[in-house]
Amino acid sequence: MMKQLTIAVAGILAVLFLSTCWVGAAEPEKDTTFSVTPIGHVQKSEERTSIVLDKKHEPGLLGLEGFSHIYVFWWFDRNDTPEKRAILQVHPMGNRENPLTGVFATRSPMRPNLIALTLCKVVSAKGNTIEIESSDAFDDTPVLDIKPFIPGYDTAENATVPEWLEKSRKTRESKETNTGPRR
Amino acid sequence: MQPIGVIRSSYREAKETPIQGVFSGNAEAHVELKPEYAVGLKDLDGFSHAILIYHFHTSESEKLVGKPYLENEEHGIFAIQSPHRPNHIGLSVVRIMRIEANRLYFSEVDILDGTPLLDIKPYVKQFDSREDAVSGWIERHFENGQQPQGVVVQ
Repeated sequence: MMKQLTIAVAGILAVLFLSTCWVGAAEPEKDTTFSVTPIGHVQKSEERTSIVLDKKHEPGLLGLEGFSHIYVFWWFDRNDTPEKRAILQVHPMGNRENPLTGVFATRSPMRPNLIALTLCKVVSAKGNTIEIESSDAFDDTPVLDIKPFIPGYDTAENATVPEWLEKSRKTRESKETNTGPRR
Repeated sequence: MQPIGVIRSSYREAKETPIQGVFSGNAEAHVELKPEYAVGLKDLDGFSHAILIYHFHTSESEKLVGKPYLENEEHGIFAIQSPHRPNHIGLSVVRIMRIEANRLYFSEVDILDGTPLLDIKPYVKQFDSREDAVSGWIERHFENGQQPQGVVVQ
């Protein structure tokens, strides 16, 4: 309940903040404001990471166990302040050696709408709980949506990334043995 | 949340919108960011693809089970990509064509004109694709290399 409230309040604050600097053609679809409500939360222990959905959403998991991977949409709730949501450029991965980059060109948790997206491997799906292989989400992070991952639909086979990302990814991989989802 | 911009495409109605962007050929569309967000696009042109996250604004219903376009069987809403879902969040992987000021032009479009945009993320294949992925009930529609019929939302 607190989480829902926090997101709604932060949304209102963000609207108030943004509406003061938004000068553009007033189109209805541009100015729509809406709130999101968590469908569940991340539950993390030393052994496992799970997504626990609110009981009422459990029927929505029917057939999910057939997928090996899912897209999980979370809310970067730790950055839910108008100041942080106003940041539009960052040094990716908190490394000053990475050039200052637009937030929409990074997976940074700094962004106007705090939607996080991670592709996760499903370990098991039982009842209202999906155990996933690994995730960089914190314990108790609000979850907004889950979508099945469908290769061929959601993948770009010849996708390329800028040099700075290739470089920092290689450095990072050589330091770590765990190659789970990162941002 | 407030949209960061709007998506402009040639698809005015759901029934003429391709079910997936990979089926849309060379059709081009663009994102029109609110001008103050344009600085957030810096260096996105170094990526070939982007993930657009948007609001399924025409959906008025929120369901927990639904029938996907490929078949008549019901599945949980989190096992299909239907717009009639809690929070109405949509996702598309698109090919970046060019960026001009606050406009991001892209192809591989499956998004309705006027759709409110919530976020843009760079597509990074190490994060966003898996070679060993298995796709549940959808697998049988792709057997023997076949491409499913009916590429438009019914």
